[in-house]
Amino acid sequence: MWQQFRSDLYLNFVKDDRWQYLTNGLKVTLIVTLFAALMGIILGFFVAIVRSTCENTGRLKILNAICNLYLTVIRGTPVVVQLMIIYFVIFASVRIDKTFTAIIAFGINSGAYQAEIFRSGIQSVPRGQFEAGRSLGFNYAQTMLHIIMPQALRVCVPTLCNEYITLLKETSVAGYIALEDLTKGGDIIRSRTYSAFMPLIAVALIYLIMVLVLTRLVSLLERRLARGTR
Amino acid sequence: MAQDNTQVTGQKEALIRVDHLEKHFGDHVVLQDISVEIDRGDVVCVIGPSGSGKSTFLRCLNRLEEPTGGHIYMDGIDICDPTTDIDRHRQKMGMVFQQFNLFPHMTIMRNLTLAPMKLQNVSQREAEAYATELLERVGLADRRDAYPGELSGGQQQRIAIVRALCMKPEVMLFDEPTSALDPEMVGEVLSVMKDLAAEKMTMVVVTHEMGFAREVANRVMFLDGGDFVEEGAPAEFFAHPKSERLKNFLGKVL
Amino acid sequence: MKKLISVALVLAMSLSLAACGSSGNPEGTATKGVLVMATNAEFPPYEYHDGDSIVGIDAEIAEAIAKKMGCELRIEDIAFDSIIPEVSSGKADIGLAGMTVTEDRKQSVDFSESYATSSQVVIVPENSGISSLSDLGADSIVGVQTGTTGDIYCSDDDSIGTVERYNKGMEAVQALTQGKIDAVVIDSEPAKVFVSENPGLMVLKENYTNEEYAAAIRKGNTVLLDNVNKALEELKADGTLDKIVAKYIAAE
Repeated sequence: MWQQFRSDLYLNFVKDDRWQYLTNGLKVTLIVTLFAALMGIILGFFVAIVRSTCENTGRLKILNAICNLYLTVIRGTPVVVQLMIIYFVIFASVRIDKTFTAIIAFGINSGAYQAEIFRSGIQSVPRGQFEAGRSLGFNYAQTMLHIIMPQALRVCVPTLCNEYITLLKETSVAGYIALEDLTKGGDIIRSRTYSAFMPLIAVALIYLIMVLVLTRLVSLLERRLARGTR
Repeated sequence: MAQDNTQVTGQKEALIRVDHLEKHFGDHVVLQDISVEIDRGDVVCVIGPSGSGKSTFLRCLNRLEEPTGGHIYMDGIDICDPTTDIDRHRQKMGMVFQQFNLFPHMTIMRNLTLAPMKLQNVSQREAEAYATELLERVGLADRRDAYPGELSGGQQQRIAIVRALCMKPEVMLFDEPTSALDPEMVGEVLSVMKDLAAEKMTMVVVTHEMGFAREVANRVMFLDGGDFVEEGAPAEFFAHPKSERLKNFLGKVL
Repeated sequence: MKKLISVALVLAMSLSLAACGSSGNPEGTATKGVLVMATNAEFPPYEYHDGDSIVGIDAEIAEAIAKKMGCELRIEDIAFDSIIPEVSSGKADIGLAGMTVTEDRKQSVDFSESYATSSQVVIVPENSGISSLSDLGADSIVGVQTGTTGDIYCSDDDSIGTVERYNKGMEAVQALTQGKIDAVVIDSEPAKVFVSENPGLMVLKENYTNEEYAAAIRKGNTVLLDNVNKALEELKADGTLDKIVAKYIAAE
């Protein structure tokens, strides 16, 4: 049995340097997750500001309608379909870097979820804070910047981090546009060795370890933030 | 003042002149046709039953509530005019809220210096020096590095008054400043307000503290049903109310 | 600890049950009277969806084999990658999916006699100027379907720049028509279908590889292997095999 296990290990990971499918895939997964998260932050932040501004002041109606459409479409369709639409429809007839495509697709997707997290954070700050800022003479933007946002961010950091963990796992569908991420790396090994156990368990373990590390970081961060609020 | 170049007429203009002010939320009329003048140095107490529109009136003065009709002039400038820079006017109108509304994520000192530094280009040293001076006067200089959540309600409200004062306002608006306080803390806040009045600060105070109104105000105004029913100097106002509605109200609260 | 042991025991037992599942009835199939075929129905004309049913050369050959064996045929449509694991674990009796016999695959499963030959061909855009394999330079991007022989050969081919592995042959062809890649390496039969349905594409005259298709059968299941081989022999002899192929592939 041990012998079988060792030969399986050898076949799936050592032979023909197959482990490189996993390490290269991991690199792609991390790059896509990182940059998609960053893009999502910018996009989500912008959308949240537009939505909150419209709710609070009634301005930016058209922009708000566009943002609502974006949220509805993105949150109402599976990310893998969005990914394929971006690759095969939006970027049809363009030779485009696949990692870049994936970052765009997952960034747009994550942006929608992060927008709602930011918005609920903004909404959680009591109205009196906004009025106190305005009554001192701060304009809308200054009040948001100095008073509302710092409090809102503190509320949404833990939820945001969970969104990044979700994003990391969701990038596993990148293989649909032939991008060789961690999951696809495992699939390629599977297609070479015809064994399911080793590649799939290895891929699962790598995701699990990353998620556990991130979860640990989030709980540390949460504790630090809890200490900050008095 | 730089923007004092409009509407300067021959006669002396009141600091705040409210002209046919109206406010309604949908069909519900909160304020109807209110006209009133507030001069420099006035301490005006606005009293009235709950739901009478006292707070709405006060919040219209710095446009935290948007009036639906009429005009409000400050130093002769119509602050309801959309072209008026309301943010600059608000710097001259300090506001104190029922719920204090200190910024919980900042130290007391940061609460006090943020607006002067960001809005009036005051240096940090200068802002902190002035804030410290005011903190000493309200007896809270030792709490400068604390966070609002570490302070009692009375202390927070005193800080909130100082925060507004740090902008060197021309008028202070108080929206039921003691209503959210435990009874034993009401005194410390009122005493700070009394000191302010003694320094000839112009104040508009929405309050239920009849004792304060009687002792400190030079004008008391009774608001009921969205309109000022009666106003007068406190001695006359409380001793000889003219209208039935005021008599009725005073009968309940005194 | 006791719980752990019992869980381990149950696991071990179910594993061993799976291991001996295929023996015990004369057909050599896991379930008496049923031949379970694993395929990936994205590979016309060998197997593809036509309305609710899976049709194609492999489907009809399997039907004919099942008839000869006196079994009922059941087709399972799964990912191409999973066909061999499915067969070697005994979940499916045979894998019939336009699958080429390779040395690597022989380590996991046994193969029947070949029932068809095929070749990997290269699809390129008509106006690409590529007329032979040697035109595919070191900076070329070649699309394949993950796990197919085209994928495996191309991955080992140093003269190809990048190999992009799509989940479906159709998607590789789509990427080709959109100019995202330079060429697609795929089996000759589906290549003909793809080219006929996508104007502007052509198949290079020169084949990339030549290969034989056979049915995959669980290693050591000689009963089933013999049954399938016997059936295939009869089908070849009475012309059924040729008829099926001719029905799907127009004679050149």
